Amino acid sequence: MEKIKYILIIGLCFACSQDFVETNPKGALASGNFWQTADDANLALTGCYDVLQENFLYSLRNMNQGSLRERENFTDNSMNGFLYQGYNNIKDGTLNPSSKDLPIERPWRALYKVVGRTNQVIANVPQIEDISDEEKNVILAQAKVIRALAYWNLMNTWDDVPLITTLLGPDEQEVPKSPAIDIYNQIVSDLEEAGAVLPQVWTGDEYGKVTSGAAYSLLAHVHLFAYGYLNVQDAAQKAADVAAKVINSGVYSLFPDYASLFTPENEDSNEIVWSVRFTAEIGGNNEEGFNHSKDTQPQAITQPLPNLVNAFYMKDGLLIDESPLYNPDAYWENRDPRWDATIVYPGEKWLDNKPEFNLIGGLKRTGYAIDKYIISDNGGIPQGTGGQDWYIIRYADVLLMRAEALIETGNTGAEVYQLIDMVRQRVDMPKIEDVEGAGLSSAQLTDILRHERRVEFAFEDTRFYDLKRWGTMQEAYERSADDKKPGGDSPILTGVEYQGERSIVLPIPQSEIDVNKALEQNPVW
Amino acid sequence: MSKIVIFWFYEYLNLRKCFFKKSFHLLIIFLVGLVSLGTSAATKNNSSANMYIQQQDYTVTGKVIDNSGMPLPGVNIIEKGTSNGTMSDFDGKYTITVSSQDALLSFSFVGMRTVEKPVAGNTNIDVTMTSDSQSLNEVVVVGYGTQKKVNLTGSVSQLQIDDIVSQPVSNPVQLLYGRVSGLQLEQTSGVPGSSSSITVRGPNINNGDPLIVIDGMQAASLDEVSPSDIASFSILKDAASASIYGARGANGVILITTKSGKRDRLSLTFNSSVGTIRPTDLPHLLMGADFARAKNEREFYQGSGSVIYTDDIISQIENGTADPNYFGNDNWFDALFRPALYTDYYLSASGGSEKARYFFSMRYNQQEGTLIGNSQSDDYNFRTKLDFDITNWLTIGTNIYGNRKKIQSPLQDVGSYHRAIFFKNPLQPIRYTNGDYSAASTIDGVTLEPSANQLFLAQIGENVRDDYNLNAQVYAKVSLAEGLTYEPTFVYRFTTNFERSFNPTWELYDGPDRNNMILDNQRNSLYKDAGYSNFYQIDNLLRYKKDINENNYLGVLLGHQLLVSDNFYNQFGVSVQDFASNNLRGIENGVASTLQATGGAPTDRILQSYFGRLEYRLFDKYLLEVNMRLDGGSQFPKENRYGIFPSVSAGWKISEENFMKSIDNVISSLKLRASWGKLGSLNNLSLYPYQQTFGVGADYIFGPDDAILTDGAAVNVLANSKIKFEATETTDIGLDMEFFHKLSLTADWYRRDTHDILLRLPIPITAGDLTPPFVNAGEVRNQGWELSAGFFDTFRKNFDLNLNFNISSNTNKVLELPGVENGEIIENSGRAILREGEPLYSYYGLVFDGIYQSQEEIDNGPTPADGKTAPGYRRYVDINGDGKIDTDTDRTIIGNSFPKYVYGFNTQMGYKNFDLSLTFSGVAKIDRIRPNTGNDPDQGNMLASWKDRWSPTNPSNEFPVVGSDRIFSSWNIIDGSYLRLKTMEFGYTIPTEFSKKFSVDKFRVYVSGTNLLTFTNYIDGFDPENSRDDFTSQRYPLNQTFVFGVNVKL
Repeated sequence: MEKIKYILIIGLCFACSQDFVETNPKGALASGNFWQTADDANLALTGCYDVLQENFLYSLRNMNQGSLRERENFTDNSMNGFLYQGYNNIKDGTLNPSSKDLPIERPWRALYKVVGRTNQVIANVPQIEDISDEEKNVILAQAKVIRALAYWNLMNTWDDVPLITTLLGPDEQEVPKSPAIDIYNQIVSDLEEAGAVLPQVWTGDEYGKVTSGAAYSLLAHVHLFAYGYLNVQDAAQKAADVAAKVINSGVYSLFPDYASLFTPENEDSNEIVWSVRFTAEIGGNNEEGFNHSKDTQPQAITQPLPNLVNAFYMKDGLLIDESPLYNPDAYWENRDPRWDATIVYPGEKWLDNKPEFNLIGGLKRTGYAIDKYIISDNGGIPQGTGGQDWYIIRYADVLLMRAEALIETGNTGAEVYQLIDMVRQRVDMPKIEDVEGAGLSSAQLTDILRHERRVEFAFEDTRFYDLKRWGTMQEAYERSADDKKPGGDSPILTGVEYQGERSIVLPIPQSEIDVNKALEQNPVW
Repeated sequence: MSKIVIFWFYEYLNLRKCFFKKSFHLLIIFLVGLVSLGTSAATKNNSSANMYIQQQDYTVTGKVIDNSGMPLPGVNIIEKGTSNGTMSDFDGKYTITVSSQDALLSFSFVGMRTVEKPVAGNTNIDVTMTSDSQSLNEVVVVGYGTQKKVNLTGSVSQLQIDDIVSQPVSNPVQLLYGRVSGLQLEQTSGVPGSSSSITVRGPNINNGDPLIVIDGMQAASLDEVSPSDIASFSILKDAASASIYGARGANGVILITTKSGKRDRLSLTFNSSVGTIRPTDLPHLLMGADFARAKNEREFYQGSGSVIYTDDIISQIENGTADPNYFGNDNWFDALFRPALYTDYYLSASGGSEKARYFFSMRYNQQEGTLIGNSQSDDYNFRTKLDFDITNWLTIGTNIYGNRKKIQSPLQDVGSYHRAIFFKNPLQPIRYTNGDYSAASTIDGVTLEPSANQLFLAQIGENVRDDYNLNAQVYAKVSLAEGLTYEPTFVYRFTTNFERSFNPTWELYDGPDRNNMILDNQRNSLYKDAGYSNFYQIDNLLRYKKDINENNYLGVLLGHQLLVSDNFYNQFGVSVQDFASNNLRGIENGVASTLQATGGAPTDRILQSYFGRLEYRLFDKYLLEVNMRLDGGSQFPKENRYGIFPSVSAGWKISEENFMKSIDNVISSLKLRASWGKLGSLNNLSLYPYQQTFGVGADYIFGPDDAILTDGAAVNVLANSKIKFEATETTDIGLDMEFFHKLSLTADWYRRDTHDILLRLPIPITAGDLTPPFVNAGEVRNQGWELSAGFFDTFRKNFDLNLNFNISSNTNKVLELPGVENGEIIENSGRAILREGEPLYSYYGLVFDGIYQSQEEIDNGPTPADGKTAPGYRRYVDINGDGKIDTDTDRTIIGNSFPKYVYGFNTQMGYKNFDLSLTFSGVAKIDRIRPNTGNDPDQGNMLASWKDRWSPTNPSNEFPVVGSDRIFSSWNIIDGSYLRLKTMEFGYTIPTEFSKKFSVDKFRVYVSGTNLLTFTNYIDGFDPENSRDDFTSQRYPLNQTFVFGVNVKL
């Protein structure tokens, strides 16, 4: 009997390794099993590109709810047809910076999302052993260009913002603002480094990644902005130099047909330096919305203002009140071809199978709608879907940036004329020499260039920072204040008045200041 | 027998990568080994056992009666120190064979004081047992064991289900209502098969659900058990009693012990009940004519100058002469709900022989929903329990139970039909005169929006959810030495679920002519999905009990537990559409639409724990108990993976002191106890909160012509690699008293401080727009007291009275919220706030100050909010005194949703063969948000009470004018206190002399009801127990049931 009790109790498992309790995610990628292979690096890098498709960055959805591109609405180019949405209250000075639901929080959020994702790649990829240095550098360079794009937009919207370039722990997140000049220096160093590493073109499966041309073109923008807005004197020369690198690379050319450039057929043309890519064909990625673009009327939430509509020259290169070609009863005839490619005017035939364009109700504030980027063919694609890419930088921009930089450095030579004329002649508009004449002063060329940028890039999200670096926001406000309702004398927007710094720098979202004690509101707000 | 060495399977776990499966196999081998050992030992011992029997042929007979002279059947009679035992028969008679003339007999019976009688050479021993009403000798189930109630030092409420006459309840939680102090129970839906939430001693920030353990197995819900299987509930409320469950015990522990077979007692139980279910209450809305008036009134205040419904039409609606196709006057709620059927069958068999005991049960419960159409739950339960004494040192057993819960519901979430009716113009008739269900109607320029017909929608299509749950437990008890036992247990749980929904094609027309179809579904579709998950639990216990000497008792428990949720939670679904007929339901009958994989996240969790308990008693007066548990959770980073949860408790049985002996007929028992301990909570903790996770699907297009969608991943959550267990420290001081052996009182005071609460505190967007990490922050206190009293007596020999009363009070307060602006977080669309010094999620809004009666009053007061105010609107208090009402800065705390008092009482009376039991339960001092505060007829219907709304001629100070503001304020807060007769049961037992003729032990018939009476000031038409904090009241009314039943025992 007792013998049976020879059962050995060895002890209660006190020696069992703690590792038994360790589990790693099987349904998620997590630090415990991520950042180990080249595939991991590429997954995370793709995630950086993906965030550019965000609704409030470059998707064409939500045009009226505070997307980045809606900054055009607090310039003289356009307004939001829904008066109480979006940013019209920037222009009349009634925006309340402590309001909890400022629409500007959305692009702020999207841009820092870009920063967060790119910082992950920049911090973790160097640690991966399974990947060559060369491959690593190209991955890092792409992440840095994408991060630079985010900081460029943060800087040109808010001036001073928190500059975060490393991974911070949960208790390190309260980061104060850095001066805009520090942001500028960071962007310059990232882009110069990336430009030297990245290839000039990507082919095959990798087509669409950022190139050295994209890095240098973005750098040209940033230098021009720093020259004009941050008073960095040597930046204009640097802008001219990097733009020249892009031009001399020979990779890019202007696409002959301006109107069809903004259609999915031509989104891979040689004019596109960097685009955010969308597709309607592959499931799950049709971020592009084009509100109403396939309905009875075009996307008309953002409406072009009359002063822009009238700023387009006639075919002869003269303003409407100067040109003999202008016929008030048929004002759509003989215009700069970019006019029709950019604007839908009352009575214009809209979609093939739809009635003529005639805006209704609250949308009929200016009488005009946007044509650029808008699908004018409603065959086969469900509403809310589209495949149109968004062009971050076109070659035309590079040409005009080089021209602008040359003018700013005091160069009024033939190259300036050549550059601007290339852009004009692509749309069969006459050369400068044929209209304004030759031997023009810096100031005259500056006016010509600024006009050219406005009509060439209307609704492409350059207007806000262009006006900001030129210091001409006040004049823009005045033009906008003078805009009259269709067929009337009363202003379209009441109370438009230049608010000084408040018209060129946006308030930091209050919700962010509430959470981050180190963050102070911009002093003008 | 040769020396046998069994390698204990845990040795294998010592290997660095120990695999669970291995340990499972080893457990089986171990058990099989023990069984074979036991069998051989049993064979070997036969000879000695026979010799043993030869010595014992001394037989004792007798009769057991109670103090009223009635025979007591079913009394357990055992010879102390042996396994000899028997039970008294129907006449209270017994016969027992004992080992010698010097044997000591012990007579025990639930509810009676145990009697010990020495045989002392007698062959006939009659015994009179006295009721032990509150029976401090009661044995209480505690964590990993049992304890006599007199020796408890922690706060444990035990509910013996034998006490409850019968249980015509659909789920076990209903048995707890009104019976246990410190428990708040709340049913939030009357959907068939739904249950109640349980809160023990106050809420917490993270989900405060208690841990549920059924026969030692961690369970997902109380509903898994058939109520009739339950022998007892134990609610472990303080740290001393719950700390043996460590990281899972902070919110209390509910232990369920199910019935088991008993030696020599073979019996069959059959219970059945059938009855009806009705909604406890239904909202009363404005009917057609009143709605038309409200609509006119709204138009008037909007200043349009038009009249929508003429007086003529209104009087036609009222007297029923208006065209019923366009001016309905139906009560939609009355039509949407119906009396439903309740059915319950239960059968169990139990018994045992000297070496084996068994218990089987089966149950089928069906409840129809009170919502018309396809609304029903079907519950199937079974249980098998077997115990075998293989040898005198080895017992093995198994406990297998399972249940199937099938819930059929209409296509949409059932509450949404309820909600939709609030948004419905009551002039829409339910049916047109041609019998069709209506969709909308247009007449006289008044257009109703096409409105789906909830009565129609509730009756088409189907949505069926079928959950299966199988639990298997095998265990062994090995006596290693005198007082030393080893108990290994293995539990496996498998759950699987199936869901299907079918949406048929349908058409609804505007008006009776069927020429304008305005609502339809032209594509029928079927969706099916299935999933399963696994759970394992391994326990190893070592127990040692020792009476060191007459005055010193020592008990030691050591244990190890492993809980593994090996959930490769395989959930997969398929969606099919375009069936040729609505009667086809096969997947192959339709066309595949999009193949959907829903869910499917593998979620494996492991919790490994070591625990121990030390009990020490000195002179049977001074009690000391120490518990300690070490828990290691896979959710925590390596350096904080293990948390230590200790507790210490002490008791002093004052009544055992000599100076109390003189009054022991008055104060029959008195004990003071105190405890302190630390517990944890794993609720609401995500899987890998310490790891940075990356979401997939962050894809992008590369390649020319938008050719290639490339996979991408992106960080989505900020990780905190330093998180640790949240901790709750509980102090409890209690007093157990008994007077005259009839009246018992238990009082407790407690304080529960939860700190290092795992919260996601907001982080700046600049962190990358990430979900904030869990951080250990914040402290919350629950403090309160509990009192329960019980009384039992028998009068004039045939009238039994049992009375119980309990009340508990809890206050809740946020002590600390570090890292949060002003120490507060505003939640629930600004209606609730977490603020230091205030109860959790306090209601936050303006203070209502009556109704503006005139423009003058508005002009003289502070500037109203939003500038939109007129006479008849609500007036609010300008809290900050800045001369204007601001919906942001003038907010203040206006209440909280936690009851200050929870109380209950129940009584059971027996007179001759009749019995009556009543249970009341109530809450007091509780704030609720008013349901359905809408008063704009342009947006839907209004509650009938709005008939008393403000108008220039009716200066109401409660109901504002139609279409007024809906700012959240103290107007929205209403007292949700209630007292309700939760259950009432009246039964009659056929006299045993009669039933015995049919070999029936007991035959009882009864009528029983739940939620029969409610006393409350809450909103008319709504059930105060179902008062979820919402504006829209998307709720399914609770049920009132009334059943007839029989209990038969053979």
